[in-house]
Amino acid sequence: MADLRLERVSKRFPGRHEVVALEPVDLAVADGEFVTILGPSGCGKTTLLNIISGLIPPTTGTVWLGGRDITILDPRDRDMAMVFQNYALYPSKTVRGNMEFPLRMRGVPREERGRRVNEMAEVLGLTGMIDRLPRQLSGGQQQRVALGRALIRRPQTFLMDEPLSNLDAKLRMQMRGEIKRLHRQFPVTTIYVTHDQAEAMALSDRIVVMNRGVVVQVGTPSEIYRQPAHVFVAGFVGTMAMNLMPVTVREAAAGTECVLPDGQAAARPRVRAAAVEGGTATLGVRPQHVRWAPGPGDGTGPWLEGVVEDTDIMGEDTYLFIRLNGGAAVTVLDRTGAGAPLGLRVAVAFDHDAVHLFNEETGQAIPVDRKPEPARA
Amino acid sequence: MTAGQRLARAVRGAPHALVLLLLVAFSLVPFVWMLTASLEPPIALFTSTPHLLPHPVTLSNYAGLVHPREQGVFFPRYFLNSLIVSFSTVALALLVAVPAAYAFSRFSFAGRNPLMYTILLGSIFPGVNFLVPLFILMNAVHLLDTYGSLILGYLTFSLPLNIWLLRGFFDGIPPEMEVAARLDGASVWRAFAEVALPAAVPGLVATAIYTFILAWDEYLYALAMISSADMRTLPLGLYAYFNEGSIDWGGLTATAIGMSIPVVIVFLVLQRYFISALTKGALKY
Repeated sequence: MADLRLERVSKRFPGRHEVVALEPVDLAVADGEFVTILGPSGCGKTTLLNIISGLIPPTTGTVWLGGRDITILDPRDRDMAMVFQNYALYPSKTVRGNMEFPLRMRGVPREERGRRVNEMAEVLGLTGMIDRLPRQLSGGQQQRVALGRALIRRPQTFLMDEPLSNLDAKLRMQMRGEIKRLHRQFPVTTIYVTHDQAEAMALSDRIVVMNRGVVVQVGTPSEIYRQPAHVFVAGFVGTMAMNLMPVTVREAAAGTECVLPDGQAAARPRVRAAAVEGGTATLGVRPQHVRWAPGPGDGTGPWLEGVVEDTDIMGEDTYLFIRLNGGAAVTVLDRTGAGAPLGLRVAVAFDHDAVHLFNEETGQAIPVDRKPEPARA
Repeated sequence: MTAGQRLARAVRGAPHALVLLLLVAFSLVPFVWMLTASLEPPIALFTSTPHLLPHPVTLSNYAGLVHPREQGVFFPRYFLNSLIVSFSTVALALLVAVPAAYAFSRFSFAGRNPLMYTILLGSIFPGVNFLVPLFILMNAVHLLDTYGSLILGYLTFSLPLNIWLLRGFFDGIPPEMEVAARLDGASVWRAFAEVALPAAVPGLVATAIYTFILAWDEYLYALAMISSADMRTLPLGLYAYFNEGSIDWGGLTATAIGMSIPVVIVFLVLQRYFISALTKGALKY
């Protein structure tokens, strides 16, 4: 086991239209840490993983593993194991044949191979199917074999490329728990690539959020969620995306005001207007930080009027999709369980203490004084 | 299911079954006829009432398959020649086509696509075009009238399609499998041999069968290359039954039946790989 460090690692694919897949990245992953690279497809996360695994060389930069420069080391000499989205099991080999393959390649004697395969099969609940071929297994079992094949030789680094994307929702949750349990049992340095923010939040010690080849934020799941450093992170992380709308920020009698394009004041964040470059910004507020009431509101805050356009019922909670009179769309989390009929005229108000502001040009977060998030978030 | 439902279902399925039956008859009747002709004395073929069952039955037509038929015509020898040529062609075709197809599928190198098209170019022209050039070539390297001339010639006919066919199979195997093997500690060669190759077995089988039949059935090219009686392959040997003014239908059909047997055996042995090619593999695509 070892710590992994990336130093100014970048990747360009040359050609008539040069593609910058990855802008220079610095990243340090501690020994035994579980780090997720999160981002939409095409954001460069798989490129980054392939550079770490040695499948493609970086254009610039250095990859360090346990203090050793492995930038151009052959993949098979890196002592890394990988789990793929399509599992990549060897179809002509049995479960045993698949799991012992990495041991065989390293010259582990037969008796020890057998012992370790049996151990691993037990850990993964595959004992009864050790002599089956991959095609005779269910998707979840195939996934388990892939995990077993990767873990069996105790690699220094464990790489996973969207390993759960091919499973149905229920199995995905189950395997998520399994991966968490395995990491606790075998605390190997792990790089996990996914586009699923819920997976990233549930599994990781730290998350690296990427967009268009750029690392936009690195932090713990809680930091990523509560203090998004960039408007992209704000919109990408969270079960229901954060509400984002352009505002102008100005000083008013009651404090700093964020004003929607139609002239209505939407929020009074604890920030000095002077801190907002150019006086315009993107206002962000999560659905659970929006209050709503039928009718024109109670006058205790800057209430914005609108109409319920749609609702999503998620069991206890209901999301209301409200179109404000000014044209902006706002998603509201309703925890009363009452819901609202479509077409209902409502008023909404944002929690002043829970709003985020982002620079309109760069997308970077503008520091806002915020009271600690309530426990319910 | 009640009897009525069963009947209704049978009636609905009837047109379907009828069409299938016609197709089966269409492909089988000539073969049955050949079998019949091989099992009766030549004279019975020319009775005024056509019949599908042999009458009277005799095995005398098959004597030519084991005994020398006439001066210089010896079918066991032709069988051996055909087997040697066909199996050698298959072995060499796989030996060359598998690595070539794998390289085309997996490695990116300068001129990959132009090279592939160049290889396929050979299949565009009718085989007859190559007859004279190949004859001159074989003459120049003193291979005329040898197994070598036939094997090399058949390879030039089959390799373009072999490579193209196998490339398709390798393209269908997700490269992640070999990447996984590489990360598991295998060399490029090992990953190919232990992971990619077994996954491509149905493709190898299809390629082998195609090449085998091509070499087994070929007549025209063999006619040009082979001059001595000892070197004849089966299709050339069949010509011994065509005499001036008469054709020995009994001997001809009996030999044709004998000639079909290896092909049938090859199919029987390899068919399960065809089936395995159709069943779902270990990978999600």
